[in-house]
Amino acid sequence: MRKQTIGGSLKDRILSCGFYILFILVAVVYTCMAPAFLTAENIVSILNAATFSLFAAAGTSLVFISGNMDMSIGSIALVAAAALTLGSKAGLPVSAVILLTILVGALIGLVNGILVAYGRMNSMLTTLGLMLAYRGIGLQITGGRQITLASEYKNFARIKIMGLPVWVVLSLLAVVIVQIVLKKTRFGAYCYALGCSESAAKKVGIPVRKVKIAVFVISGICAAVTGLIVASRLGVMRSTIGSGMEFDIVAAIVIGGVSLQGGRGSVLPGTFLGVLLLKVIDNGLAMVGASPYAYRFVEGMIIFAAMYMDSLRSLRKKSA
Amino acid sequence: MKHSKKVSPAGGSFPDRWARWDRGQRTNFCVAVLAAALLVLVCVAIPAFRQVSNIINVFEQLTTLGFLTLAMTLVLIVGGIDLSLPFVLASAAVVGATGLANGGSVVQGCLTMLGVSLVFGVINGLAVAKGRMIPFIVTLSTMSVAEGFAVQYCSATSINGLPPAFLAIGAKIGILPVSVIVFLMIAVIASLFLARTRFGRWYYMIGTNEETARICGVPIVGAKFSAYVISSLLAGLAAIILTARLNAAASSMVGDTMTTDAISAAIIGGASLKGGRGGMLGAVLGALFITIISNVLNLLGISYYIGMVVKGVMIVLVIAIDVFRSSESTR
Repeated sequence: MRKQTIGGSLKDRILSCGFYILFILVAVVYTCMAPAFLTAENIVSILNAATFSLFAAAGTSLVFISGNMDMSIGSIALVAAAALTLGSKAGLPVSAVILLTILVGALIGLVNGILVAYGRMNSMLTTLGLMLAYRGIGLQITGGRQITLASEYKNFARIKIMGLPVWVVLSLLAVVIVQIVLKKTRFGAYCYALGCSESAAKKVGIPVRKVKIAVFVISGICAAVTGLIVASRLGVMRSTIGSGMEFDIVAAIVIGGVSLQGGRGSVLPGTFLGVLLLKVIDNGLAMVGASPYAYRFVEGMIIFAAMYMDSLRSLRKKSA
Repeated sequence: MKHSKKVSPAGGSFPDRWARWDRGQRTNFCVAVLAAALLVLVCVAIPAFRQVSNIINVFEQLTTLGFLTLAMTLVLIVGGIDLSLPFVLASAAVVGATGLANGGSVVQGCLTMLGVSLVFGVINGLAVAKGRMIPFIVTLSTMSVAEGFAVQYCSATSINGLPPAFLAIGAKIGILPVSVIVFLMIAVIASLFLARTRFGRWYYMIGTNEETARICGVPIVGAKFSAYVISSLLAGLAAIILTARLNAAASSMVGDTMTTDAISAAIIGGASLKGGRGGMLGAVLGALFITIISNVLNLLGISYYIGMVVKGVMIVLVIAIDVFRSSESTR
C-alpha cells in the first residue's frame, strides 16, 4: 500500500475527514431540531438498532476490501430466517438449528464465491441476480406467510451477558474479530492485496481464488447470523426480513470509508461508524417526526455525498 | 481480425461466415438460435401462449421493459450501468400523474414526466462523467433517492383518475396497441442514433477503451453525460406509456425484478458489462425474450417466488455467457 503523505493543503485535510464532519453535522442538526435526540437513553437505543446490521456489515466489509461486492446478504438473511423457522416447526433443539442456519449461510457464500472466483464473473451483478434467487427460495420455503417461532427461539434473543443483550455482544465481538483478522493475520493482508491489484496479488503467489471464496463464505455466515438475530428478536418469520438490507449495508460500508475498488478501509472504526451514522440518521428522522418514507431518500443523498467526497479525494490524489 | 482465407466481406455460405466471426458473434448466434428454439417449443407446448390475445399482451408488456432495456444498453455501451432506471420511471410517473389527476393537460403531464427523468439523468450523468464516480454506486444512490422520492410524493398510494385524453396513449389502433407502435418507432430512432451519428460512434469508442477514445479526441465527459441523460429520458417515456396503460401511477409500479430484468435483457441482446458492445435491435430482442419468459412462467401458473429464482439464476447464466463471449475477443 502507498504511504500517505503527512500534511497537505487544508482542503485535502477537510476532504480526508469529510465523514466525521458529516457525522457531527447530522448530530448537531438533529439536536437542534429535537432536544430528546442527545439523551443517554436515545443513544443506547441507536446502538441497539445498529447491532442489527453490524454483524452482516462486518463480514461484507471483507468482501469489499478484497475488491468484490456481495449484494445477496439481505436474501441470505431471509433464507437463514426461513431455515430457522423450519427448524422451529420440526421441533429441533435450538443449538442444532443455529448450527444448521450458519451452515446454510456458509453454503450460499460458497456458491457465490465459486461463481465469482472460478467463473470469473462480475461479483456485483452476479450477487445482485442471486439476491433475487435466494429471496425467491426463502419466500417459497415459508410461502411468504408470517410464522411465529417456538418460544425457546425467542428466549435465545433475550439472553443477557453482563446486562447487554446477547446480540449486541455478539455483533461487537464480530466487529472486533474481523478487524483483528484484517490487520493482524496473513489472510487480512491477502484481502487488502487482492483489493489493490488482483493481478499483482496473483503474481506474488497469493491464492487469489481461495481468498475470494473465503471472503464470500465469511460474508454468507455473517449475513445468516444477522437473519437469525432479526428473526429471533422479532419472534416471527416475516417476508420482509433482509429486504433492502444490502443497500443499507453497502451504504454503511461506503460511508465508513471502505473503497469500492477495494484495498482500502477498515471495519473498526470505518464500517462501525458507517452503520452508526445511518442509524443516527434513521433515529433522528423519527425523532424530528419526518415521514417514514423520507428515510430512503435521505439515505440516498448521504451515500451520494459520501461517494462524491471519496471521488474528489481520489481525483486530487491523481492530479497531485 | 485475421482471416485464414480471403472471403468476400458479405455473404458466402454459412461455414464461411462462421469462420469469419469472432467468439462474441458466434455466441450471439448460438444465443439467438437457442432463444428461437425455445420460442418454437413454447408455441408448440403451450396452446394458451400462441393465442393472438396473448401475443398482443406480450407485446404490450414488452414496452416497459423494452424502453428500460434500450436505456440500459446505451449506458452499458459506454461502459457504465444504471440501476436507477426503474425508480426514475416510478418517480416520473407519480409526479406527472399527480399533475394530470389535478387537471393538468396531457402535454403538461408528459413534459413533467420527461422533466423529472431528465433531472435524474443529469444528476447521474454529472456524477459519472464529470465527477468520475463509479456508475454502479452513483446509480445505486440515485435509485434510493428516486425510490424514496416516489414513495414520499404519492404517500405510498396509487394515483388514479387520469384524464381520458391521456389514456388514449394506452389504447389500441385496431388490434395494435399505440404503446407498441411508439416503442418500435423509438427503438428505430435509437438504433439510427447509435449507428449513424457521431455520438453513437463515440459511445462504442469510450466503452471499448476510454483512454484510446480520449487520445483520439472524443469528448468523453460530454458523450458519457449524454448517454446517461438519454437513458433517463427513455425511462421517462416508459413512465408515460406505462401510466397510460395501467391507468394509474404508484411508487410500486415497477416490480422487484425490473432492474435485473433490464440488465439480463440487455446482455442477452448482445451488450457487455465491459462496454463497447451491443445495439438496439439486440436490446429489443433481449427484452422480448425476457418478457416471453415472464409470460410463460405466468401461463404455467408457476409461483411468483419460483419466478424470482428462475430470473435470478437466468441473470447468472447470462453473465456467464458474457464472460465466455468477451474472454477471447479481448485476447
